[in-house]
Amino acid sequence: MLKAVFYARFHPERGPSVVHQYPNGSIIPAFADQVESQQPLVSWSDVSAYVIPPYEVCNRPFSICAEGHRILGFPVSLEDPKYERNRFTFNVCFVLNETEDVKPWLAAVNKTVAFFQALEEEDGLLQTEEDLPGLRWAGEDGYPAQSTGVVYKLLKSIVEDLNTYEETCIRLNSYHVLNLRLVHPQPPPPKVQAWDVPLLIRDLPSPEHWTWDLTLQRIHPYLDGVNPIQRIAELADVELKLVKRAVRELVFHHRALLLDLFHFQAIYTPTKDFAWFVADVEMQEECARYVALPPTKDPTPHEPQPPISASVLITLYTSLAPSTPLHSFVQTHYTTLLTHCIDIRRLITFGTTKGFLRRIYRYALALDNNNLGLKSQTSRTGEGSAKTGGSSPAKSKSKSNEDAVREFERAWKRAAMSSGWATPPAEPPALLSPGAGGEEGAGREEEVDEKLRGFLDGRHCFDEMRLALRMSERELLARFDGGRLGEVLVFNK
Amino acid sequence: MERSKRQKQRKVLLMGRSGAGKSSMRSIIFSNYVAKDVRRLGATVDVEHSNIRFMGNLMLNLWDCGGQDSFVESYLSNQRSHVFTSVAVLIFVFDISSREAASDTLSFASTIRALHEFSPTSKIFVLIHKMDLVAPDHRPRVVHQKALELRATCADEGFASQQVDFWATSIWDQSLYRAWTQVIYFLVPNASAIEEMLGRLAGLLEAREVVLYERTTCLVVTHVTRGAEEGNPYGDRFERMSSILKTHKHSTARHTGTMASEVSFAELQIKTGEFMLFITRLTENTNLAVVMASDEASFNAARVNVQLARREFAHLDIVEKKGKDGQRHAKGPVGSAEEEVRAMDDGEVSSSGRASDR
Repeated sequence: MLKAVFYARFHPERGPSVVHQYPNGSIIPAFADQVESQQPLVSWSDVSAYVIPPYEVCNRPFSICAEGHRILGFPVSLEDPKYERNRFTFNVCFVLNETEDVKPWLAAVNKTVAFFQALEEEDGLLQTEEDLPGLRWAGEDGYPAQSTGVVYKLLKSIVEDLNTYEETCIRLNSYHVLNLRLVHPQPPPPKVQAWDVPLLIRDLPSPEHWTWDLTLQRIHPYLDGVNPIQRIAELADVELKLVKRAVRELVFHHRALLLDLFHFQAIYTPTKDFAWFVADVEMQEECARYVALPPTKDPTPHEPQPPISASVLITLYTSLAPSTPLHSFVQTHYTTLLTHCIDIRRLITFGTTKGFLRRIYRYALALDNNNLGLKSQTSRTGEGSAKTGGSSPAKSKSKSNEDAVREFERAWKRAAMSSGWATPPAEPPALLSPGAGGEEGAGREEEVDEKLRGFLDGRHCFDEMRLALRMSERELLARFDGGRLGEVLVFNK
Repeated sequence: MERSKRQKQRKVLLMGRSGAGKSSMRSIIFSNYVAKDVRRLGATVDVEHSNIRFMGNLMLNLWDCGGQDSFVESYLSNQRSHVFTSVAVLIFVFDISSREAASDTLSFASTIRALHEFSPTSKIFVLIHKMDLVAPDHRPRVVHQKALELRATCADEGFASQQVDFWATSIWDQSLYRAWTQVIYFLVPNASAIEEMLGRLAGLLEAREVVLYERTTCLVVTHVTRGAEEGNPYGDRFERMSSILKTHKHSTARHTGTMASEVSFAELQIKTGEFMLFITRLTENTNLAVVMASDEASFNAARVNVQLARREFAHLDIVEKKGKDGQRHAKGPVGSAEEEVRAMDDGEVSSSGRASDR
């Protein structure tokens, strides 16, 4: 928040002095307790040497902290014989709280000062302003003389607009326009995975006001917080890459959240933020409203369902533990959930969006060295750890579906762009062709195993595997138990 | 460390109203500006410090203080002790063309009040500047009036009349050099020792006049006038010399394409039917101008003698001395000078061929 803005200059007789300030009294004490004035934020005599410094240090950003306030400035010294004493030195400073992040303001200060410099260099407005008969200086009786000069109005608009809208557009005349906007640096958008579930948290602007691109138009009906991205891509018949990009945009602009894939083999556990939920009554009420199922159609009209008590919710949440998959949790608390008409999916979703529930993912790691030793192309000696051993199969023949598709596309592009028009590859190399003849059963099993092996390096969660291979968790575990992949360690993280 | 002890540090404050001409004077005397260049100077922001080495053993800490109201307020309030402690000389510049004479005087009074508080023994030089803007016939009256008024102010603030000197100056003539010569003369630590030696030298050379001046600023440090020369009507000839030498420097610089600060000459001779003059290097930082009668033999003898004398005068300039001898040597110039002059007498070739009395 901008506390004050002031314009100061080096006057040939007075020395460094504040000509204009907004709000009145923020730097130079207002004359005799005028109306609408405040106490000075800093002492001018302390900072004047840094606001109007020696010429050698001018024309670059220069700021100082004093008394808990930060004064951001950019002193400018214009050399020209037309000025008295051959120089015109001035500064426009923004006064902020010392602890506030400076980055958005630096650009604004630079632009403002450049604007003032242009005013002076092109039209000499700053110098002529002081010659205006009705002008009052800061601290004088009758400051500010609203109808005289442009600088005071400029400063006032800057403060009010930047504090209210974080942007401003001030037009002095047809060619002097000041546009400012505070840009807060954003972190880059997160990587979106095929097994993430997007949930819209704010409505998108209606299509009349904001053009939706084709991808968004197609996927919008499926953004319900239940479908993972892969499923959305299938349902909407849009390429996975495009769906991911669209969802990333939505997440970056804070219109959607990414959730985990909900299923009853998932494991959830409370985080340390749960204490916050316990303490906050409002959140508990919000939760109660969110998770309550609409009452079943009952012919006997009775009083509306009582709201779910906080103790019930807290008991339910706390009984989630890393050892409890969701299906056993539901079985244990079946009666509770039924009597209070609690939607289990919403219960979990509320927890994960608010941040006090955490999803625990399952990973699998193949430990068997024998199987892997045969696979590795380079002569890696036996002490290669499971991890390194595990990753080489991923690079060799068996690739995951997505990798294979990407490779195929790249090869196609390369072939297409090369001027000799090399024959592009006919079909993706490692994809399972549904109509593969011959030893179908065994062959397919082999291929699936190969693909699965690629995921067994401990870095791919079960959700990813399940989506990629379109197998349920039980089937996956059955394969691991089958022994063809060697010893597989399943762990939760 | 010892060097700084031997080197005399003198703090000089240069104060006055904004636009009075302080920075202009400083740049003309010490930075080789020409009078018309100073129009380009900007206002001084707060204090500009310069450390000026003078004659090798004098270090001037010159504080050129900005004259704007807010700076003066600051010097008199929160920087009061920092500015006014250990001051050797205060040079206060008055702009005679100023329209606010009364407030100028008030400002002067507050300044010397602060000075008296922290450096009551300091010397005050009041320069009444921009005299070129006053009609020549009014000048003496104007200066006298101003001086009277300001003397009263100084007395009020507790300064004895011998602590205050008044000079009328202008950058367009030699009066500037006159005033500053007085300032320097007051500050040079061993002025009397130098004068004494010069006196003896002049006697030995049988010179009419001997002038010692500092090479970079062309300010006359001291001079010795003998015999009939004392009747010379041009009382201001020394500052005129300064001014002429400075101008000569600038024109040499212009014609040889070098910087004015790098210009120097080995020797300058002027011979006329009335007199003969030569200027030559005496010490590392000073030149000597010797005016002789119009006699070739004595002129040449004088030149040789000055060459021989250089060695002895080098002591005056010395900065580096070793350890324990420091103390002894500090008293040296006066004591050993006599011996050296004696040695000189033995070695010299006198014009009349007579051995000097001993």
